[in-house]
Amino acid sequence: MDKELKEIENSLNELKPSNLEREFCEKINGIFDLKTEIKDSKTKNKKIIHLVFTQNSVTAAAILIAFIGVFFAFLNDSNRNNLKSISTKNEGDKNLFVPMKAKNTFEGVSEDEIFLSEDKRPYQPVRYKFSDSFIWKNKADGSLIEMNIPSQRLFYVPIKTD
Amino acid sequence: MTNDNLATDWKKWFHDNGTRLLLFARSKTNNEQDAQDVLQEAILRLWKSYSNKTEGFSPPQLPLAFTAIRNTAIDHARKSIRRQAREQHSDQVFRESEQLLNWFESSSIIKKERAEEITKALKKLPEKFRDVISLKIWGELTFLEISKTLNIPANTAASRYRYALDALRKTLKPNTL
Repeated sequence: MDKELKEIENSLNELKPSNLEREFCEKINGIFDLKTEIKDSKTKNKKIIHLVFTQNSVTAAAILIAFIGVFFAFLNDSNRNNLKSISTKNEGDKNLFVPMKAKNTFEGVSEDEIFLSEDKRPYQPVRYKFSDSFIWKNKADGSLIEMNIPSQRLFYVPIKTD
Repeated sequence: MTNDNLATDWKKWFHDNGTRLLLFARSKTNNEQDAQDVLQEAILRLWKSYSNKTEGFSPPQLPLAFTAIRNTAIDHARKSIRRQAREQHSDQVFRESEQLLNWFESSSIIKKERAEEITKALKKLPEKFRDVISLKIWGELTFLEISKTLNIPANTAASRYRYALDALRKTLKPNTL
């Protein structure tokens, strides 16, 4: 740093910042006093009470209450789920297909081979063939389901041997 | 440490450093009232942040206090931009009277004149140079501490200090090279 800059630096160093106004100083000091009063009042008036035993019991009670709360919340939630499934079922009823037509058609008869029963009596199996047709209709959207189911009825007719 | 002692410590800390803190606040604001507002707000912030701690409630170190003033001044400037639009006319009259305010102590008439010259010269400096001068000369910070306070590299702080001295030399001694 050259000589002139050093001189400037020295002249600046000689200067002292002007004193603070008394009123302003009091205002700033008031900040520290105010907060201290608040802190003091907390301890002096015993607003903060340290009770170890009470704190432990209160903590345990709080945990217990919280646990019971969670338990009942879980129960409530599971019940709600059940209600929801039932209501879904009821709502589904609206969409069920309603039987519109059912018909049983005789298609023929056939005889099977004669066989002997355990008591040595001959029987003639007679097989009657049917066809069952069903129609269901969905009232909500008018769609139809048709179904044909073949069925048989077998009769054992005893044969007279006398 | 009791609360009374804490308050006493902080008061002593402010008594020792208040003038240099206010000087820095002055260099960051346009007028004396703003400087006092900024300093008061910064002290309040420091006190609040320190009082929330269970330990280390002693007064802050100077670099931290200067940083708090700088941040508060930035916030204050943002508010002032809006306020100035409303108070432009009356503020102009106020600022004219503020220009006469001396930033430094002056025991004699000669010293007073010199102090006024330097005050004017400092006000003419760009803010970034004025900050470094204020922190280095009257804040008594090192360049490393200044760099942390102003969030700039230490070399930049040093070069700004040199530029600032040079600028002051040109203003205060215009006849010399």
